[in-house]
Amino acid sequence: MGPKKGGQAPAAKKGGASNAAVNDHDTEQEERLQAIVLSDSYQTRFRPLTLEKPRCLLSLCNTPLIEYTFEFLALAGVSEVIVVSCVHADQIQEYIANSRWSSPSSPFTIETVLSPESMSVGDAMRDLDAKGLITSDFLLVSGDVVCNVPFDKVLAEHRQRRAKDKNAIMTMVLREASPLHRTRARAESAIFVLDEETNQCVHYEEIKTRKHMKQISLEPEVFNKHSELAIRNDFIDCHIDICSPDVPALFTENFDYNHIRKDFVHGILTSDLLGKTIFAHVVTDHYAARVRSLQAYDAVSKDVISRWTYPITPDSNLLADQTFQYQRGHIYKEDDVVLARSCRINSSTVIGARTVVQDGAVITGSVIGRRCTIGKNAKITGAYIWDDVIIEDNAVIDCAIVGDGVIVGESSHISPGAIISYNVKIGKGIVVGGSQRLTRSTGDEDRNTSTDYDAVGPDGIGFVYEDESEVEEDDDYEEIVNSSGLIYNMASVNLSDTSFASSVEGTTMRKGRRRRISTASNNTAASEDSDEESFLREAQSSVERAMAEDHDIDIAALELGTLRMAKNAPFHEVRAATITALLGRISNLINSNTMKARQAVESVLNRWAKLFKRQVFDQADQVDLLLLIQRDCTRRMQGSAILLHAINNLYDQDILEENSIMKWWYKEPQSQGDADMVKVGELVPRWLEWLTTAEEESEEESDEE
Amino acid sequence: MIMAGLAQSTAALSADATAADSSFDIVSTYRQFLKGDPAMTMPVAAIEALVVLLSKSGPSTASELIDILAKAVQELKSGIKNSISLSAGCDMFQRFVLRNIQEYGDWEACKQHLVKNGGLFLQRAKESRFKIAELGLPFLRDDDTILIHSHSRAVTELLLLAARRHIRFSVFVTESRPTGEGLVTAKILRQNGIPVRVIADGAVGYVIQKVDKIFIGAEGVAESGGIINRIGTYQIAVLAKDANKPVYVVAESHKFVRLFPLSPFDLPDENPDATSFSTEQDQDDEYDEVLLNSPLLDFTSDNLITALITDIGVLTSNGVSEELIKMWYD
Amino acid sequence: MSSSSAHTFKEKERDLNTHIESFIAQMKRRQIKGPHDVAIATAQLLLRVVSAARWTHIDQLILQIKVVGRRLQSAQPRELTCGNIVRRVLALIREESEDTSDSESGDGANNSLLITSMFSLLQTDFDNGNSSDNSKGAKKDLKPYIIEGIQELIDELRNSSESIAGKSVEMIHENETILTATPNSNTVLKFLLRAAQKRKFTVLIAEVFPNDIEVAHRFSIKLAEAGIEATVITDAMVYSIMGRVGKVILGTCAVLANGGLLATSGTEMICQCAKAHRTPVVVCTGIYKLSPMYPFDTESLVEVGDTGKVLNFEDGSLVEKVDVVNPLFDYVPPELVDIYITNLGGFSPSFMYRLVLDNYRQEDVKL
Repeated sequence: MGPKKGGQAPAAKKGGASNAAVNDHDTEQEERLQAIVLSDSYQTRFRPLTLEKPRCLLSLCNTPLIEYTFEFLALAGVSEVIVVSCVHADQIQEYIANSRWSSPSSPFTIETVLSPESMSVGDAMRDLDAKGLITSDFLLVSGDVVCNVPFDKVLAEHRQRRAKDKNAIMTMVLREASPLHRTRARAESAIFVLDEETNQCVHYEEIKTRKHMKQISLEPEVFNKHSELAIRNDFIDCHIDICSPDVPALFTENFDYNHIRKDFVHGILTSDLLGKTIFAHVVTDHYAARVRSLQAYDAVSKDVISRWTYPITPDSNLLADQTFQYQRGHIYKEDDVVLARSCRINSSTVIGARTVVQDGAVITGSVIGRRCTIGKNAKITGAYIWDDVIIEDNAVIDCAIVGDGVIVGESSHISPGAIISYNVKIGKGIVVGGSQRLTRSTGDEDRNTSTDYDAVGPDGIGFVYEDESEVEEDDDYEEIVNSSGLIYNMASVNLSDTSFASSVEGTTMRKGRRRRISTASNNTAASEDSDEESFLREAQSSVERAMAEDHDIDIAALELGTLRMAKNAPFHEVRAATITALLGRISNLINSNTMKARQAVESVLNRWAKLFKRQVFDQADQVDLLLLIQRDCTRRMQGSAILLHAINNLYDQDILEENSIMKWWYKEPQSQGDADMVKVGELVPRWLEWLTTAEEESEEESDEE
Repeated sequence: MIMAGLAQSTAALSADATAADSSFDIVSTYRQFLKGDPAMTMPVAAIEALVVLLSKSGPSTASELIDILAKAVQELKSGIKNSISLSAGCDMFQRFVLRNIQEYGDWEACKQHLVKNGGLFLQRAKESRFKIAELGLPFLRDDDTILIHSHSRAVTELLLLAARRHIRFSVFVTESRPTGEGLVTAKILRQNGIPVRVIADGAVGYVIQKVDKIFIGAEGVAESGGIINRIGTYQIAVLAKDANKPVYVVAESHKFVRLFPLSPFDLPDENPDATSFSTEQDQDDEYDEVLLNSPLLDFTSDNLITALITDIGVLTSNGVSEELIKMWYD
Repeated sequence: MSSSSAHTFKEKERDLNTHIESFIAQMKRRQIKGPHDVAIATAQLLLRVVSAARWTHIDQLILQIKVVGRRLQSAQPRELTCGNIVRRVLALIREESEDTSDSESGDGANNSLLITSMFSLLQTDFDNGNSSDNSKGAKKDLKPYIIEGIQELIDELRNSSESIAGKSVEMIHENETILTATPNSNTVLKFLLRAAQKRKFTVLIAEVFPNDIEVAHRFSIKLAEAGIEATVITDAMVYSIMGRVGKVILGTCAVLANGGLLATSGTEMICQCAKAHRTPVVVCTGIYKLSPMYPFDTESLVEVGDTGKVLNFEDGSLVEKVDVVNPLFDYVPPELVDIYITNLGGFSPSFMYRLVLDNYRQEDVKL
């Protein structure tokens, strides 16, 4: 060492100095990366827990959720973070101000932006756009993301694409995961159609759990543009997006965009006008997930405990005062945990500081917060117990979330799926049902907050939380019920993933591991269709399916509406499609001799004519409708009868007004345009005659009175 | 307490061999110390006795002082049967006095200092056990099953501290014939809520698979890093080696002795009866034969020991020689 | 003027704290990892601490470093090198202060050092007076010496793998077959490359699934480029091929006081195989990896890594039903190692104890 020292020391010293300098230089040279953290979820799935605390501050494995997000951003090399908060903004601001992220040692600058009015991601983006805070490409995440994907590669790809094509406005980060993977949000799975080569996303479609989705429609030109397409639903989409500044601007332009995927991505992809493109980055290793439902909370907790999220694990002690240590079998224990001699701590368990577990208690696969007391012989399995909870002797808690400060009485039983919010007290020997959510606060002052003694026992405090907001919020109530609980209600659900997957497998070729649709086989059929026809066909089949499966009229209408928006089709076409479908059914009934013309028309139209209420708005529309019916009837057997009864029926249902009918028959040249039209209208004059006399009679009657 | 009892019984065997030609009887002073405080170990008692001796006698020169000390030490060693750990204390004290005389030149000041702080040594000796317990604590983990042999104050202290710190473990204690001291350990541990199972010495092989680690005390730690301890230690260490279980020795550093035994027969207390054979049947009491003729100590060589937990840190056997060399040859 | 200097001092302190905290955060995030990088980063940070520190008595500085060291180490307790460097710096400071006080008082009053800790039973505080006397002398600008010492330490860190490589020619024979299972070790790479300048030999590289496969491949390419015959073998093959292996050469993450070591998981298995075949095991390590810690509980020393490296996260049914553990290190007991090649020379595992005493102070073992 001696002789070398002289020669090498200066060089090494220089190296040391320049090393630090290089580091500084690197950060400068790199473009500054902004990140927008949406601290609000714009959902109510975590209620009543989120009534008092925002979701991003809820504890996951004894660490607030937002810490995981910040940690991810720090790993990703973000230099500027903007937190957008609306509900509980004060709590979030306070938390951030006191956290290590606001200290000078934080790897990024942090700023909280209040956006109290925003009700959706769209609102928040418009607000940001208005405030002009976004200056460059940014990372858009919500405050409940848990992710350890190294971001440099993703970012580099995105920037490369941007450099080539300014229209590549967004890169979505998607994690591969098999259908029915526990970490996937079951309520929000979606189909992505990606170009195999470039990873451009050409189509996005949300899957509804309740409905059987048997098909998705792609525009034929898609197949011309992209030679290899992969249709995939094996993604965890945790809404980590790299966006260009165009994105908030686009939100401002399209003020009806609310949801980033359902509205924005879908909207951008279906609109030809904008010419913007969206790409996906498929991650096959590392971890990415979002705590967007209670099930996801359960799954992500398990993933964190079993170290899929490494290095973001409890024993990394993200918060300065944490002292977790790892033990064999994925057990994490903080200092000062007092375990009685005969208690048993089984695998996959996290226990916070100063918690006392008494004799005979058994804890399996659970997370226990700080300063809790677990009584003698209590049994805790798969539960999430937050701080300062007291669980008295012989209580049983099974797969439930128990909030801060709750007291669970002796020998009580909390069934799987229950949620006990802050400071609720449950008396002795109470059984809390699996679907129950107990709380002490409603978040709404006018509501009754008296204790419900049936639910919590004579010495308890708290009442059952009933959530009415959820029903309206989304279009599919059943889906919400099934997906919002902690336990996924498997029995009452169509396994959308598998059913969809199998149908895709059944109809298309399966190559390798991924599902893809062979372009060759579909191309011929698809490319012959014009755009318009494809919509007609689709809308028609949508109505037909609704009739065949006897859907609710609202759902059928909604589906048509969605289709129309997706295809940007005029109402004229919607009406045409509906009529073709309805009249087709009527003529089927007649031809199969099940009913006479009149009966058939009434049976179908009485049930389904309401669809027109969302398609026909003024006189011109009514005339158009009549013309369409007339035209359609020319193709049908007993067309004139159908036409007559249909007009009569629609008139009775107030869908057609007298004036419109008159206008159609007397003034519209088309109605008398050709022989077929005239022929099919042969019965109309008689009905018109009846109509006018009926009018007159009624007028006379009223006169007489 | 048992140590004291044992010392008494062994002393009874050697009867009145100690002829007190000076007015001060070092052996009985030593015994008084042991009897008076059950927590006192033999080396500390020896040091205390020597300090008393110093305070009583008035040597006029340094060499006289050394002479008196050497004589007393000799007397002690021969007067007490089980003298290994005792001699460790004596040796250290002698060395310390010698060194201080050399350094101070003024042996009177040195003597004064020693006499004045007599009580302090005892205090420190006790504290060193707590220090050991603190240092040894990381060796114990939740759900451990531990095997201990006989009774050792240092081991017991460590286990009690671990129990106070809420570490949950269970303990096998050997009965440790012929003294049966394991029962004493079991009693103390059970009183403190530690689950214990007492096993016969012959059952160690039976339970060894279930054991996670082995803690043993030591009467003396030899220069090689091997230990001199209650009979039965060697066989436990051999079994542990075979089963690949770690063996930790828990001992205060004042038990390090300047001995280099290679076998139990090199120990100063060798009991020749234990290896003599006889054809005569002792009709009266077969049990007595075991009790009277059994050796009390054996030697466990360093290659069977994983580490030593001492008040000066966790040492490997090399570390022991290092410490002894520092003390004697620096 | 005094107020402005106080102001800058405060600012400096804040600045320093920022550095410490971001170091801790980076350790937790594993942005700084691997013994070498951690060692250099720690030394550089301590250099900052020392240059910013103010003290009237050397004990204050020691305390300050200890406090910082404790924080650094608890950030990632399994990166032992971090604690090693802190202890090295502490030993250095103590040495500097003793040197100066020695040269000043020079009357051998600091015999406290000579008398071993065993004597502590008999000692009283009578030599305390001396140390307080020293304080004034100690204040006499130790800073430049300490800073120089740390700089030297950093140089040592940077050069250690070079000086280890210098011993490679003695260790590797012509036409020998070498097996290595620690492709992540730069030290081993340099060691082999240096030997290749003079010798012709074959290297078998165990791929060490799952954490270092790519590293193993890169490692083998580098060897092949240097003209070494490099063969990648699967981990399962190690035992059967061991009979043909002349030496096992390993790198390490940490060497412990008892002569045991921590290295990439799978290492113990390879060492056991080597033992079964009586193949010598050579471990290359910089002295900075030597930790004064005793492996109390080997399990707690082993970091458990990313589960996703073992199983595919995509497969939902696996994730749900199967538990996976991916330990990153193995503890190898001293009896499985034949020799340590360090930047100070070759030592037997039982000698590591002595090296610990040379490099660290007993009083710093517990930070």
